[in-house]
Amino acid sequence: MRALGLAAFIAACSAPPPPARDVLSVSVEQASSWVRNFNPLLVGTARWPTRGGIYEPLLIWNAVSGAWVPWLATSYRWSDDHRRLTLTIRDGVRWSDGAPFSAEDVAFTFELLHRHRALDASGLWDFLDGVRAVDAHTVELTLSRPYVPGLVEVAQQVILPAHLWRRVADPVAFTNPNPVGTGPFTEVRVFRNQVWELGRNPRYWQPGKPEIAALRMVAYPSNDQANLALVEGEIDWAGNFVPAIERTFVARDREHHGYWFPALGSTVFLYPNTRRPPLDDVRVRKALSLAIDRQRVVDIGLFGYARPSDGTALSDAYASWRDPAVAASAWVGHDVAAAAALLDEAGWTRGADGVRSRAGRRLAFTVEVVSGWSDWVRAAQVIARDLAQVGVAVEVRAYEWSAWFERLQSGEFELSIACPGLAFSFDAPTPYYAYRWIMSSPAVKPLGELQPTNWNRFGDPRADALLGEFEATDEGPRQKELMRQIEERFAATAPAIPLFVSPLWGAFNTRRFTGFPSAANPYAKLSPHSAPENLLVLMHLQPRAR
Amino acid sequence: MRSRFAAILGDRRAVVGALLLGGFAVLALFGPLFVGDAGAAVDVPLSPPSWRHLLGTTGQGQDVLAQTVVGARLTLGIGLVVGLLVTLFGVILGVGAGYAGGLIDDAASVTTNVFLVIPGLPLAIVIGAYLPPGPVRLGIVLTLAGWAWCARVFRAETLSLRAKDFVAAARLAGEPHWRIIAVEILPNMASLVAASFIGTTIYAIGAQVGLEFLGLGDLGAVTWGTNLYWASNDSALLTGAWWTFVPTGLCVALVGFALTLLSFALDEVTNPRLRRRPRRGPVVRATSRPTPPSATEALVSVRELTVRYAGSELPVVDHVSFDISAGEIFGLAGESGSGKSTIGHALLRLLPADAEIDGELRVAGADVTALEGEALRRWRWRDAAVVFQSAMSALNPVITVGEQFVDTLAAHGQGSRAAARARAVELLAMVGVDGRLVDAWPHQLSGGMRQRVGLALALALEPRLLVLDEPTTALDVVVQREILERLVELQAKRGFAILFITHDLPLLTSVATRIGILRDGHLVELAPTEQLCRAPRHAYTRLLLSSFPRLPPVAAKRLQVLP
Amino acid sequence: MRYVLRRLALYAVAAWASVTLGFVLPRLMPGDPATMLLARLRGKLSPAALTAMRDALGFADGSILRQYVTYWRHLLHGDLGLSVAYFPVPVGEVIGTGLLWTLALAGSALLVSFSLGTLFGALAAWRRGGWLDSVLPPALALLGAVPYFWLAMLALLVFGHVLRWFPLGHAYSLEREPSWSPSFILDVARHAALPALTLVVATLGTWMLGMRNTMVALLDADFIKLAWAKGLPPRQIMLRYAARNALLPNVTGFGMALGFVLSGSLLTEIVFSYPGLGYLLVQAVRNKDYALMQGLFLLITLAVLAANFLVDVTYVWLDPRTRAHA
Repeated sequence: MRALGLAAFIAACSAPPPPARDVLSVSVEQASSWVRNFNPLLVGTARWPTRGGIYEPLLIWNAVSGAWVPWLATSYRWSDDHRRLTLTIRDGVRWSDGAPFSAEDVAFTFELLHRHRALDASGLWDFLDGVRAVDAHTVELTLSRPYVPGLVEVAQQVILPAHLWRRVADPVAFTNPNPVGTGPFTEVRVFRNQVWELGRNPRYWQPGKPEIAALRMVAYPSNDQANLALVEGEIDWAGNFVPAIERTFVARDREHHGYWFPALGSTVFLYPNTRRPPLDDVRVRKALSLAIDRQRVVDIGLFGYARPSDGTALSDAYASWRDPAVAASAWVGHDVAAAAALLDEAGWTRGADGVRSRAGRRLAFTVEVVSGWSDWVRAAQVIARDLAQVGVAVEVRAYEWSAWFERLQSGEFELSIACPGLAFSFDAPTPYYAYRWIMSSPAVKPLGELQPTNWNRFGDPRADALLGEFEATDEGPRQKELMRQIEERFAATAPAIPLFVSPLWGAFNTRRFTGFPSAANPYAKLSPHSAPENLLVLMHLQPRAR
Repeated sequence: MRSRFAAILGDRRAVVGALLLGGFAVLALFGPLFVGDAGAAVDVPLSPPSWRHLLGTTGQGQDVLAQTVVGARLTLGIGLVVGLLVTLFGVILGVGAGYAGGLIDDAASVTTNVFLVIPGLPLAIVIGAYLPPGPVRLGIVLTLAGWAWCARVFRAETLSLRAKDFVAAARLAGEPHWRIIAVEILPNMASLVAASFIGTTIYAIGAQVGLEFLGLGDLGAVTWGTNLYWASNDSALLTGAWWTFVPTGLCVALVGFALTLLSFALDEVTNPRLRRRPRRGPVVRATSRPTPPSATEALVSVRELTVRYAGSELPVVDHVSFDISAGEIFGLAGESGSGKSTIGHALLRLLPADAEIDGELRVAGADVTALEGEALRRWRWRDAAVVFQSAMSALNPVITVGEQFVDTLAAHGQGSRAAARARAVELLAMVGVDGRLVDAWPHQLSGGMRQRVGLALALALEPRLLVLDEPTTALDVVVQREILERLVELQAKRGFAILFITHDLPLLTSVATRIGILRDGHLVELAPTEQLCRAPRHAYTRLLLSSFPRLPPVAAKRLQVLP
Repeated sequence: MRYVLRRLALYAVAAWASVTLGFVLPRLMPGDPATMLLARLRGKLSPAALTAMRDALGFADGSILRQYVTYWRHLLHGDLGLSVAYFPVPVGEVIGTGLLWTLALAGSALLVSFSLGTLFGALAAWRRGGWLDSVLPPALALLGAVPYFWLAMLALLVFGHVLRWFPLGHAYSLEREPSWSPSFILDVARHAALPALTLVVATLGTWMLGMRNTMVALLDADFIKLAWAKGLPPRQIMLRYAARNALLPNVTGFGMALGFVLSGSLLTEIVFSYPGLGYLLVQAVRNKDYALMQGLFLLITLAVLAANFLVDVTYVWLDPRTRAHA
């Protein structure tokens, strides 16, 4: 009790100074302490604001408005055979150290990725053949094959200063402690284990922008702490999941507290390993799909924030691509009778214990989830109950992320909950990748070999042909028609079982800053996880007048 | 063993602990049959406690009561199994290594020590990362992280048991090793095994809940740890949903508490000294004072001394009276348990608080039973000092010989540090110990030396009475004789009186002027030495005299100089 | 000194064993950090990149013996490799962000807990059956049985969130630059108070009971009886005779606990967003960051060894008997 008294005394004597007014506090990733690393090329560990804050891409795809926003490049042009991509580079941009930015830097960056394939996370050099700076304002990329979807990979690649990175001996192991970029925030003002600040770039190419003096990242090791800080007003902009947000956050200060959880995130699937019977049987996969009550999954797993997936499994980012007929198809509805009928048809009959079996084999699966990802774990638990109703025994097993991912990639799982690319959102102008990553044959490897995408190991030759044709065209109507057919193939073959479209979590506090995107003002995504689209938000934010 | 069991049951805390544990056991075994599917979402998430859901619902709309009840099963199950496994491993490795000795023991002890320095929780987390989740993983991880501590305890215990006579006897008798271990060693460690089982179960439950809270358990299962994980994951703090984590935490705490209570009780049964009996240091109460101070000229006057311990009918000392004159050597002889040491302790007011004393005790005119507090402290050692039998343990092992003189002298306000030190050297020289040993540590001295130091210490304040409680019993005959000679010589020179307490009557006859014989608390005979030797009146005295070889008198010279 | 030498030999063996364990454990498992890192990078890498990364992570190809030698060489140069979770930051740097804070938090909690517990234990034994002895042990046993992270959650809710007496997390106010100024130290103390308090409350019982039981056993010893007979002041008997001797076995326990300082506050750190090593360890496990795991494991083990050695040396100083033995 003596200790308590002393502690109370200490508590009374030192109150912390208030945070500076025009510094925007953001909570994006969870950490207990920060480690100084500003290398923008390592996808696993580089994040916003390194990508899309310090370093900028050529073009930004705005998924909300569905348009390309010119950035370091002002325009792009495909050659007629779609094997050459020409980018016009913006004039008047300077690196934060004062050196001029040019097409040279762009060419250098792509060449660097070629030399260090470890850094080529998006696989640019799978389809690129060469890159060259035609003049100071023009870069020309040649492709090894027509590959229109590759535009997004090229466009969103962040560009490095050639004059500095040329001297970096090993860019893979380079922590880039003092970054020089073209972005709006480049000055590392403070770097401590609990907090770091990134100050405004005085030479930023957009006049008068940004209006914020600095970004501040505070280390919170878990959602809970970040949420507490958000509720307490220590954070201005957060990308955490906030439970019961109306009650816990908005109700505290209706005037300033807001959130926007649009269904623009990745679609979460129940991945069946289609190389493991009986999951190779489309009837079984569809029966599983029909047995799941997606609304309940969403209500319980995600507090009702998410939207059950439709028949195309596409998020709202691809709303214009969605075929209404496919979207409304029955296979993603909740129909226990239909599910049972499909299983009966496939020869699985109920045994005495209520579990179906065929030729002595029980219809029993394990669903694998990541132990920390509670929404998915809960979803899996609901699914397990739903499936039990149609006579499928399901055990939910939670693994640590790395173990889970390894099993997913090597095909050791039976059923697993995941989303393609494991990204919060993958923004592309077309749903090409969304489908390629779950139903393209060339990507399928034998069980046991690591499979970077297409973890369900499903291949459909007709989908392959359609995807191949899609790669070679950038004509709108033609693309639409091809995509409609791909959607039909998807609904017919059920390569994976879509569950729900992830919401993009985003919450804000307008006590000190205004201009956050919201349902009322949807100019870009709110979630700070959506680099490089975050740049659009940073350009809009303004400190409140005192 | 049965009496120990009864003793445990007699302990109130043990009863509370056992009842709590029993309650949880019933809950874990039968509770799940009544509360339904704990995993099912039954209501609106995060509803506060109500009649429909006594403890409210979780962030997933599950019933908290059901989750808590069902969680008990796996949590307690794993806890008990791991407790058993760790104890079992500990016993096998510890006893095996300790018994085998030699290279096996060296190897085992190095391995154990290595595991002891490798931190448990990180090890558990790291090993856990490699295994598929589930109760088996938890079991393996917790056992691996916990066995070493157990093994060390059992090894130490085995080593000490192996050195005991009955084990040595069994080995000499050629009994097979397994039999010695099973019959001689293991039964003697029963309470240690039980204690370690309780201890490791507490550890297993705590560590398990901790790991699960980190999300490193099996999140599909319903256990207390995962309940807490989900509570934290569903932002219990943010939403103020205290009911999602308070009941589970309380359950963990209560189980731990119950186990701790049991281990308290077990500890006290194994080690009765820990029992909480009211005691405030060695203080003596005189319950009645029959006569006014008798005006004798004796230095020590004991009248009708009766000592009884609380809760026992029979007095240990029963109406004993005797006097000791100044400069006299008075002997008290008797078997162990006859009450002779109790009399000595009573004279010095060293009996424990639960001793009841009747009668009168006077030393140099002071009413010993009336002294209290500071007056008692100041009286001590000035008029009456003592030398204990166990010279080995009578000196504080962590301070030097000289310091033990210095603090004694300082306690009675005798001079500066330097002076006290000089006096210590002088006193040591007086008993025949090299003055340089003043800076030695007690353990560096031999038994005989230590007893001499004890003697010197007793003489530090030149007391008028010296109580010698079996002063030479632990020493070999030659040393014993040297010390006695020195003692008698000093006594002759300084003229203090001695109360010599021993079971060795023949020894006593060689030094004492008068001897009292004690039997079962009664003074059966009291006579001058010569008379006692020549014509023992009591049959018991005769028995004592005949049971030891006679020694020639030590103090022939002294007798001549006696006035 | 032979005693110290013998202990040193044991520590050398233990250090070797834990270093080797750090080498063996990751290699026993399917997959290696390089593959893992590549998996994080979505696995689109050329074999050349894979080899390069293996090398960077200290997983050079070659015989297991050669790898072992390389591992030791790197280690002796203080090179713990590159962290996977924080790639390409060296493990040493990652650990550096948390080491001091964990040391400060858990170290001070241990010191407070040990001193208070020992003091209470001595007093309880001295006045056996008194109120301290009747009330504290069961109360502390109950508190000790409470999972300390749960206590931490409760404390955070009540004292941080509701009463607002204490900050909700972190080791110091975000606006402050770490320094040795009194105001900063006070700020650190303010942040550490609540987490440290939960650690103290959870461990106090163990220390108290340990001390009480040893001391109770000692109070019947002859040298205590002799001390009374000598008329020493009671306080001196309690401290210099009884407590001083009863402390010895507890010092060994203190040594063990000192070593576990680095890992013992793991859960509390997580609850209080304390920037210590605990979260790093969990993070390393979640990301299969072998390098970081190894580094932390090694650091913690070495800390335990160092602490034990320190205690051995102290023990020699405290207990003269060990000086003669062995």
